Order: sequence, then C-alpha cells, then structure tokens
Amino acid sequence: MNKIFASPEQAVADIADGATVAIAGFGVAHRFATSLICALRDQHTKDLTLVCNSLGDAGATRGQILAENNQVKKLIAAFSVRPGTPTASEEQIAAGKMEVELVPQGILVERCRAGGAGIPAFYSPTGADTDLAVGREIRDFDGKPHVLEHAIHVDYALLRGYRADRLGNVQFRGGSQNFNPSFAKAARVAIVEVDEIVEPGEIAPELIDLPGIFVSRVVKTTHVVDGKAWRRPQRRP
Amino acid sequence: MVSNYLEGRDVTLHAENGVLGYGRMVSEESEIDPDIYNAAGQFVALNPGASFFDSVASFEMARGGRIDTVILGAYEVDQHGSVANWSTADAKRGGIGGAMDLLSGKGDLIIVMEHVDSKGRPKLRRTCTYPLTGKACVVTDLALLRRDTNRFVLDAVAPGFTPQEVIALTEMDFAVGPTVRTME
Repeated sequence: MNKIFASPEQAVADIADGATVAIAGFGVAHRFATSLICALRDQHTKDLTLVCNSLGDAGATRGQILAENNQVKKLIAAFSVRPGTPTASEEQIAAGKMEVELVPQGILVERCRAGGAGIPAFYSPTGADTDLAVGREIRDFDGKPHVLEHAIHVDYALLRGYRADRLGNVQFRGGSQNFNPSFAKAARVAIVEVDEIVEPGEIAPELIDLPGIFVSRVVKTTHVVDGKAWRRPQRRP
Repeated sequence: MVSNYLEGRDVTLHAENGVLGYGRMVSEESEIDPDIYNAAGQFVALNPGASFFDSVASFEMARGGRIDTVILGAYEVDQHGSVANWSTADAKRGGIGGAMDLLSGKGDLIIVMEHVDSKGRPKLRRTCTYPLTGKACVVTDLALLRRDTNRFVLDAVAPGFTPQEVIALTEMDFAVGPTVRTME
C-alpha cells in the first residue's frame, strides 16, 4: 500500500467543482495544509463548500485565498466575521454571494466526528437558547432544551500533520491536532500534508494519532511553518 | 492574559484548541514552539503535566462539565445574566468560536470586558441588543459585578471611580453590595 503523492498539485487534482472540502487548522498563522490549499487555488476549482473553523485573515494562506479567488459557494464555520480589516469572504457574505452556516466550534467537530462514526444526528445543549436554534428541532432532556445536530460528511479533508508514513498513519505535534482527526473521519478522501514522510514502523504504534485507515493520501509539505508569522499580533477578542 | 497572573497558583488552564496545563505567554524566539499556543493563537509555555488532545476531546471537557470556570469577553451583558459575544449583526455574520460550547458546561462564567463601548455607550444593558451566546452568568470590569440568585451585585469598583459613577455608566439595574471594594 502506498498513499504517497508526489506533489500537492497531484494530491488535489481530482477535487471537482462543487465539492465539499474540510480544511483543518487552528489559530491565525499556525500549522495549516498550506501546500494543498495553494494547489486547490491554482487549479481554480469552483463552487466549493468549505468546512473549517474560520477562513482566516486577508491574504492568509488558508481558506481565505480560495474566497479571494472566488471559489467558495458556501462556508460552514465557527467564524464568518472577525474584527479588523474586512476580508473577501466577509464582502461576499454581505453581498449575498457566499452562503453561510455558522456552527459553534465544538459542534462543528462533533458533527464531523459523528459523520465519520456512522451516527447520523445527535442532540446537544450548545446554543439551544440562542438564535442558532430558531426553526430547529428541539427536544428536552433532563428538563433542558437540546438541539438536533446532523452529521457532516465531506468529500475531501485537507489536513496538516507532523509526520506520516505511506500507509497514512499520522503523528501530530504539540497542540496541532485540533480539527484534523475529526475532519479526516468525516471525509471520503482525507489528504494530509506533513513535514516529514517516514518508513512504516518509524512512528511507534502508540504515537500514531490518526491511524492510516482514515487517511487516503499523504504528501510532503512545500510550505514550512513560517517563523515570522508566529509573532504576528493577535487580535481575536 | 489571565495566564500571566496565575503564577504559583494551583490553576490548570484549558485552551479549546487542545492544550491542558499551559502557562504564561512567551514571545522570545528561543521560547516559542510553533505548535504550542492558546485559544487566541498566542504562544505559551507549558507547565509540568500539560497534555495535548484534539478538538473533540477539548469540547468533551467543556460540555461534559469538567471545566470549573470559563473566562470570556463580551459585547454586552444584561441584568438577566445573558451574554452576547459572537455577533453585532445577524446569525450569518459573527464569530461563535467555542463560546457557546463552553457556556453549555457546568462552570462559573466570568466575563472580562470594557464597561462602555468605544463611543461611550453602555455594554451592561437592561436587555442585550445583539444575538445571545447564553444565559446566567457573572460579570467583571471597571466594576466587579457578582451574580446573586437573580440579579447582579456591585462588589468593587476600579480605583478612581465611585459606585455612583459606575451606576451612571451602566444601563442595567443592579444592587450595590454592603461594602464596595476598590479593585487592585
């Protein structure tokens, strides 16, 4: 079995117009699947539905560059607007050109996890007494309202790991697991870009964070984590 | 910010991105690890015993009631204890992040915010005007307002302020505690 692709371009080549793509990664300028995102931009795939925490700032080599290239039809995310300079996605949302489904972050990952776990829907207390629950199916458990949440399935997930082998086994580093495992499980095709591709067995079995069964493609990153970007001022409230 | 003031106290910090047990913020290149940051994306140090996990486990801790205290910012808080912190527009445009999940746990909620907005308008309202994040909470700021059974009570004011001045800058109704301290 060999899941290694020679380049990010080849790894995303079959992502077709109208596909649903989850993009993992947390923070402002931290570890994202930058090579894969840039390759997806460069092949101009249209009408994408993106699932992510946020698209990021203007010019960020994240989902935002796909919005800047007018490739996004719908956004399913925990953030659609952030303080600071308006982004392409914010302008497209305001103009009604991009559909939005805002989802609390913990529900976003749980819906993806459920999708991967064969659970079609579940009830959750999160946001049950807010505008997000308006028009949704509500059921009381233990005297408290809960919202019915549906599983998310995606066509592709773009992930960023630390190391992987040709079987698709992935190791993450530090606090950079974030959305990666749940997005991988929700995906028909999970594509991971890593700093280092190693031989099977080199990552000890107990250090494998995401077993290869959840991962279809492995590619070496062409974007090292940018040291200068680490010290960008933070402005999230 | 809070993490910089907890040195020596037996408090374990949770960051929704998947870190338990982090410490102060770090800025020196030699101290920064690109994979160790808090929920605001700021690089942090780790305390002995820290652990990493994915977002699913992170919100299991939140909704599952394992977090004792949640600290958030807010656009508005009202006298019913409702918090609005994710949108100043509508349900399509905003940033929910993990706040609603954190509120659905069992922890006490501390809101750290400016008392008035940049135009001097009150943020402590009779009723929130922005979409709500959740209910039944505690507030702090220019003043420290503790949530009693069904109302807020003024416990402390910032140095240089009187309770009367705080009342004047506040739209919501609240009680004034028997002894109002000056905040340090």
